[in-house]
Amino acid sequence: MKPLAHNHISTTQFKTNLIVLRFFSPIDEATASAHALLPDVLLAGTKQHPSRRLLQQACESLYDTRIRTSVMRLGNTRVTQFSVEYLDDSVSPMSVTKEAIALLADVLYHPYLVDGQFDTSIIERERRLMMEEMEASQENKNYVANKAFKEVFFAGEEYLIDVDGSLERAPLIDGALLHQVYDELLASPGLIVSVGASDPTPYLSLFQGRQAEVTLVDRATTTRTQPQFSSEVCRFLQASVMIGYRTPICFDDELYYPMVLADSILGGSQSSLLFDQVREKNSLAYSVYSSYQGAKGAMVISAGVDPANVQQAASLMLDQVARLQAGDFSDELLMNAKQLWMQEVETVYDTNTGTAIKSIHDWALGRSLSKYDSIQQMNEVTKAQVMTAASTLTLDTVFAYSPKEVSWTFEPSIDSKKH
Amino acid sequence: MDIRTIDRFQETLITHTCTSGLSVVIVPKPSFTRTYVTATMRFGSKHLHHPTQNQLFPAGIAHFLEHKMFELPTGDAASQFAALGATTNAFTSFDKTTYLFRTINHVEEATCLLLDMVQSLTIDDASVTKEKGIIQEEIAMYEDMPDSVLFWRTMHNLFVEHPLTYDIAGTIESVDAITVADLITCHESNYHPSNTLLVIVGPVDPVQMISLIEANQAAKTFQDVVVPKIPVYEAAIRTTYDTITHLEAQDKLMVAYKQSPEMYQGSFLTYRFAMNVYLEVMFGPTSDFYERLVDQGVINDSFSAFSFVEQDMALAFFSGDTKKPDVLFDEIKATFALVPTKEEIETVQQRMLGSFIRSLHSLEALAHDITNYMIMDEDVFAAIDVIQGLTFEDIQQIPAFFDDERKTVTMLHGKRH
Repeated sequence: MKPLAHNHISTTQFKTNLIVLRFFSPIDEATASAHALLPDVLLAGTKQHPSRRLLQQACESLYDTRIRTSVMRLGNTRVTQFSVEYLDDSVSPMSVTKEAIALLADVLYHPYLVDGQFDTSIIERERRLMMEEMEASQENKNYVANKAFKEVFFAGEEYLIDVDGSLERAPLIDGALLHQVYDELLASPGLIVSVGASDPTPYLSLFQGRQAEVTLVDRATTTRTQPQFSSEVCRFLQASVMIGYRTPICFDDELYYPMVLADSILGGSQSSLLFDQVREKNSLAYSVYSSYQGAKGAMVISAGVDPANVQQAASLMLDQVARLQAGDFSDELLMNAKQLWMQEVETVYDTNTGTAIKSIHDWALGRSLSKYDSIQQMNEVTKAQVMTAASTLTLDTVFAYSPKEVSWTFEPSIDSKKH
Repeated sequence: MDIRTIDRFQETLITHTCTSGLSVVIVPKPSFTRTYVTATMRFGSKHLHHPTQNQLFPAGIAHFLEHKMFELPTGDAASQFAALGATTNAFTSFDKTTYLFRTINHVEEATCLLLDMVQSLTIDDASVTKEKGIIQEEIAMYEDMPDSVLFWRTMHNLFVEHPLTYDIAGTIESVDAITVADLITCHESNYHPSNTLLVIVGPVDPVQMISLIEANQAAKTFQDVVVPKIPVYEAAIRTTYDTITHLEAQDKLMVAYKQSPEMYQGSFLTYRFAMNVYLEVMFGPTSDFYERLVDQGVINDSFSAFSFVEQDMALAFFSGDTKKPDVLFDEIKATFALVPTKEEIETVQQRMLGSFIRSLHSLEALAHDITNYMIMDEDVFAAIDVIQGLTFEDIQQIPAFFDDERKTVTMLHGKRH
């Protein structure tokens, strides 16, 4: 073990300094729930501040120092993130740098233990809270509809393992399993990025680990000869129409930027094909958009519609993909998509969290850290390249999550690419 | 043009009132690449009174008007913003409607486009009918969200005839009743520049921007100002206890208290922040209440305590998922009898100061904070002095707010189990 690799982005743009640590580890069904719970247990107390309340009060007294954690998926890699954000000395009533970083190190390396093990009552409480949050997520229609859709779209793939854990596996978490995943986490490859006016390098030797060698792309797909049409009856009032396409283009591909633009033209803005046709022209939905998943090679388009309009909306949504593939969109729309993307890049760099995440992501991928390189690459994309990228979209799944039964009336022999 | 430098936070605030009456605030942010601009009208969901006649508009009219403002004689405004590289949006709240854009380039053109957009209205029967379908789908979307349903039901229970009894978006029926004439009247009487605040945060030249905005306003003519009617404060509470069901939900409880703003003794801002500090100390994540009830399984991380302490309304809410609503309600009431310590109060004051300083590096947070305070004729930078100057006595007066006769309790039962 040696100090984790660190990259500092120096800027006086922000009032705070931010340090982000990311650990990368493989995902498996047996330990996914324990890995999801671990950050909550670590935040529930340290050796010095042995309860969640005391730890949070320590953060508050340091002028709203914030320690955050998250667990997410990139391809088939789990990313466990820890961060600390604290006021820069230039605006803080007193310097909190040393104490704030030490608090994060305590969370990671000096958790509250009883006889060398995580406290059973803390595990039980945090597990209950995690399970209640999972149960509460069942009332979020978008979450539930998306989950139901993914189970059809990605059936049989590892991509279905939920890094947030599952209600089935969570009760099996005990102290031994939690300590096992804790050890796994600390042995995982990791990276640190800091953003702010003050370089925290002198304090970062506290954070040890392996250097990162990670794969952030998952190209494993279920090959389907015909698109599948599926539906599930739900108890919400509004129906969701979700359509999934496969593409071999992931974010390490030459056609990545053209595909990002294709996504924007299709459903990434208020002037997109989907917004214009499904919402503005036909008043079928308030919310309609597309989402390209560059770590997986998938594009999903979604709309919330009246249950009576499911088939009409789905047909119209498929038509817009066909228009995209045929190049039936204006140069102005392409130009707008480029400008919006550049705006999004600048938006990322106008927040310290965005700057850190983008940098750490590019670093893990071995890409240039310069935003100007990516802006130039995006600027050079042609309409023909967008059409080439869009032509790789292969229709895979048409799904409705509706309070009423849906009997799809599309012909099953439709051209999977062009509808 | 008034220039004010706040050395302590390394910020500069420029304010200007145009000859048209438009108020402009600019915060130069030279180290940022984007610019964030908002135009806010003091016209929200509570402004349902007709400006000249003794009648109410259908609920949801401010939100409906917000949707329609994006239609210009030259086409869709969103596309025109996009052509300038800007993204645009809008939202309606109880007391205001805000239109916004973000952009890297063409800040001047986009600012003029934003002003032109809010200062003209182009609608006809067909476009209004089309919009009804979109908004009714938006309402249907929120009806599938149990937390939203519980909040709006509680608001409904807190008021009887006051417009705050209605959802900001209105209802399927009220939206259906809105006419072209209603929208034109609302626009004419509430979108006057003297009722508008423009806030610009980003790497801009303030002198150049103000000159541009003055020229934009000078080229237009505006009708006489009609002072919007403010709804009269209503003491009555519609329902004290209520139970609703939702097919896809956890069991939830929301307890809400309503008081008259007349109970603020002294500064309104002092009362507002005293309430915030009190709720944080007694019911926030670092409180004894929170830790104990989480340990007992009464609440989880969905629990929150929040308030709307405004010049013309005073509401406080306690809400969360719970399988033991009776225990939670009793614990909330019992906590009102407890007294916070000075150390607890100081810790929360430190957190709020840090949180305020942090917000200064977010273009969006800063623009919205400036708007929220200026709409109330208050100063966002003075607010932090109020927080730091709060006394133990200021906090001690808050429990009197929670009068058992001035509350409504709404339970939402989920049907999933």
